[in-house]
Amino acid sequence: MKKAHLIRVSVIAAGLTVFGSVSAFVLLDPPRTWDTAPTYIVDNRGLASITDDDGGVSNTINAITGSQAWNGAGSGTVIGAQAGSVAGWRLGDGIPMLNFDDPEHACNGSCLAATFTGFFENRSDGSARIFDADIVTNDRFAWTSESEPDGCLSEFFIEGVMVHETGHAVGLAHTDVSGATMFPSVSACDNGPASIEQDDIDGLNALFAGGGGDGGGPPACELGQRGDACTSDAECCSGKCKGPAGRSSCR
Amino acid sequence: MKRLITFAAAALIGLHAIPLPASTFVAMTEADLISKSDRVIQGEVLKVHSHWSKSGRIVVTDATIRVDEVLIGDSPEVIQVRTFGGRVNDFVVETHGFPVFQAGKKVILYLYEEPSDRSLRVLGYQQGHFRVVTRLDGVTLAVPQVDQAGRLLRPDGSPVPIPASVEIGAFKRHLRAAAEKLGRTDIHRSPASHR
Repeated sequence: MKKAHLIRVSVIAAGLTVFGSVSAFVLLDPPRTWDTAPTYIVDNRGLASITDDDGGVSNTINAITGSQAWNGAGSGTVIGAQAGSVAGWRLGDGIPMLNFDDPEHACNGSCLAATFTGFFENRSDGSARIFDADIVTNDRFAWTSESEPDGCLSEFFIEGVMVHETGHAVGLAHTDVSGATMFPSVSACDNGPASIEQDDIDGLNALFAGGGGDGGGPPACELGQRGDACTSDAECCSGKCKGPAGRSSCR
Repeated sequence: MKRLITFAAAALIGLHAIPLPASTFVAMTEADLISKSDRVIQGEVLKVHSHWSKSGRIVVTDATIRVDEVLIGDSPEVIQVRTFGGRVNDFVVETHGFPVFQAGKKVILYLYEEPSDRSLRVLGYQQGHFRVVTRLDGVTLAVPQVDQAGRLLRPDGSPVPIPASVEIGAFKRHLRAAAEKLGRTDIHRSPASHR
């Protein structure tokens, strides 16, 4: 009897574990997307604590737009970024900005970085339309980037934190899959979240498979999807063609 | 054995609970919360009002709160506490991981005065926000409002577990004892004290 109960519970537990590892991503509630892919203005002042060439500006842009992050998930270009002035930072103007400061003193004390999402609940399919999503940063913390010459010592990587925050900005919530970019914790000196994992990819593709609302969402990538045969990185939406010669496939 | 199995199954189900959206926060210790707060109060949210900030750059929400008991520090009977985000007409601003107030809810708040605009805010974001909830069996609890909406990390970057609900009497006794140990001299031991 006890053995039967143990087996039954084990099967349920195993099922939950498998389900969790396969499909644990969570979308923001209500589900929401941009009409067209947002282009972030990344604060060209950079962060003083990052001692690479430009205070982490280039590294942040490359991280959030690179093929290892959201644009490599297989749903096409879902986010862009360029350096610029954030002097006009204002939520609700439709211009997404990533501010390395905190002009409204909203993210101070224990807050490391914060994402504010502004949206309208006005789509006929029940989804919401993101109109603006701005990010602020607490510059009192010690930040670092992959290009810093002196390595990392109890600092937070700007790339990993901002790929996570922009994940929220495009419509993703937290996952319970450890190691995924959208997992709700990261250790100092761990830049793993800068590269998305399969769970993040599944989440983003589920978000855009929903149609993306009025504008239909960003255009689908016409290159190879995950699992498609390939001979070079350029043939894959993810930019990653892996495997032995003759049997390579897109990741 | 059966209890162990049931507990393991419940724990697994708990692991699969749906988390909420987020910002990133470094966790404050209890000692930080107590020593850095201007006041700790228990009260009821009378109304909430969302509006654009004076600068016009962001939507803020002001919660009007009737103070029923001052636990630490001084407070008038009615206060206004500010948080970020809210709804103005059909435009919704979500500030992931920040405190959210609802009229009619009873709360315990660790508060500080923000120097930039002199508004009262919750110290430690969701960490300084507890709901006061009475169960069907009559036991009243202080329920932490940390809900995974914020990425809550220790200074070394390791994740912080979600805190547990505590019976309110025990919560207050513990708070007062901890505050005394930290050298605070403005601890109140009787209810309904407004200074």
